[in-house]
Formats: sequence, structure tokens, C-alpha cells
Amino acid sequence: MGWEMPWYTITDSFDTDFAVNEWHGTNAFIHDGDKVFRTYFINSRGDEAMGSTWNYLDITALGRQEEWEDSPENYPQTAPYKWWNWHDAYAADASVDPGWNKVVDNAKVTLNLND
Amino acid sequence: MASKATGKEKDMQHRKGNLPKNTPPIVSAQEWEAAREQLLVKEKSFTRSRDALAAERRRMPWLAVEKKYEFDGPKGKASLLDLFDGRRQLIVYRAFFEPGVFGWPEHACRGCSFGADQVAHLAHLNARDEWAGRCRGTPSPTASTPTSP
Repeated sequence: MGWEMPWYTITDSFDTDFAVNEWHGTNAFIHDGDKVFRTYFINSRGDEAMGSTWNYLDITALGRQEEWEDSPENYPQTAPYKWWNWHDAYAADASVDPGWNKVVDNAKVTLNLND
Repeated sequence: MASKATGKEKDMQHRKGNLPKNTPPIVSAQEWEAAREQLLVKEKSFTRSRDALAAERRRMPWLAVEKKYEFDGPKGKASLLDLFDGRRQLIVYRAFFEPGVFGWPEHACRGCSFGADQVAHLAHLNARDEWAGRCRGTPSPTASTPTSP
């Protein structure tokens, strides 16, 4: 079907334990070493809104990880917009590009970004 | 007569350009902009309250996953931790793609397929140390092996 995300088959009670045995739903998890934690669950029309990068990030424990966000202290955060890259360029170009930085800084002034 | 039209008939009428009779007024560019500015106040309020809701989600308590789950994946057996693929966070959507579900065996459930079609390029999520996966129900042992989507 042209879907790029990885698929796995449930072999046990995962669906029952995470409230997705009868109907669709999206669970969010985080791990600390070997320990895994369930951090959020969204279903029904809330789940229907999933799909965009932003809607997914907004249900996660760490959020969008951008500086403007109201997150608990010391959560990982970087400047908005500046972490964006072409979808095929993230790995090869891990450091922040000074040219793109400048574009963002200029846009913040002229376009009232962050609003 | 319009009230007796079926959903499909109404849909065909719309395609032929027959809009309903009760659409909003046509206005000047200035009036249109004023109306948009007026609604923008509510739009901004909606955006801020969505941000505030997400901030509350980030303060939700966490639940430790104690059971050891096992999945069948492209590389064989996988634990829940394996599904993270080395990243910090994991998003799992449960799709229905199994015997007894509408569309089987050629397709996943229509709704789940519709949902899967919405998913943005994962490189952007991955850039924030996250990984999104889908899982599906157990194929019946009597059913033919489903093709990997």
C-alpha cells in the first residue's frame, strides 16, 4: 500500500493491555534504559487527528522539544524551525546549517513567527 | 425534493456545481478580510489551548510496562523495547489487518488504511528521537500468511 512505517504483528495480550483489542488507538511510550513506560493513549476522534508530525509530537511525553513550550524544567528543547531539514538530509547533515539559521532568524522578524 | 435526495444523489449534485441554497453572503475583499480577522481571534485562542493541552499531557504520570511483550516483525521476533529501534520514544498505532476484518486478506481495515495514509514522512519524527510503528492482530493459523505491508 506504499506505507513506509514499520509493521509488527501482535502475538500476545498487547492489544488488550493497551486498550486496542476492539478498536483502533495510538499509544505513546518512552524508555529509560531497559524500562519502558506508557505515557499516553489516544483513540476515537482524537486518534483520527493523528498523522502529522505535530499531532504526534503533541501526544508524546517530551512534546515538540522546542524552546517556547511549557514543559517541565530541563526537558530537551531546541529552537523552533531550526531543526527542520529535508526528509532525506537529517542523517547526512546533522549539524545546524548556518544558512538555514539565518533564514529562520530573518523570518522571525519579518513574518512574526512563533505566533 | 432535495430533502428526499439520498447522500449519493446530493454528492452528484454538488459535483455538477449545484451548491446548497443557504451558503454565506458574497462580500468585498475588505469585508472578507475583516471577517477573517474577527475569526482569527478564536483561531489563535484554539491554537493556544491546544498547546496548553499538550503541556498537560507532558505532565501525565507514566505507567511502567512490566509484561514482556513479543511481536513478529520484519526482522523476526521483537520485544517492545526493540520497537523503539534505538530511539527515546515510540508511537504505536493498532491497525486491524487480520482474518475477520473487512477487506481481508487484500487490505487492512478501511479506517486503519485511511489512517495509515495520513502519516507524514517519518524522518521528521525521527529527528526528534521518535519512532512510529503500526501493529496488527494475530493472523489466524488457518489463514494464509498475510503479505507484509
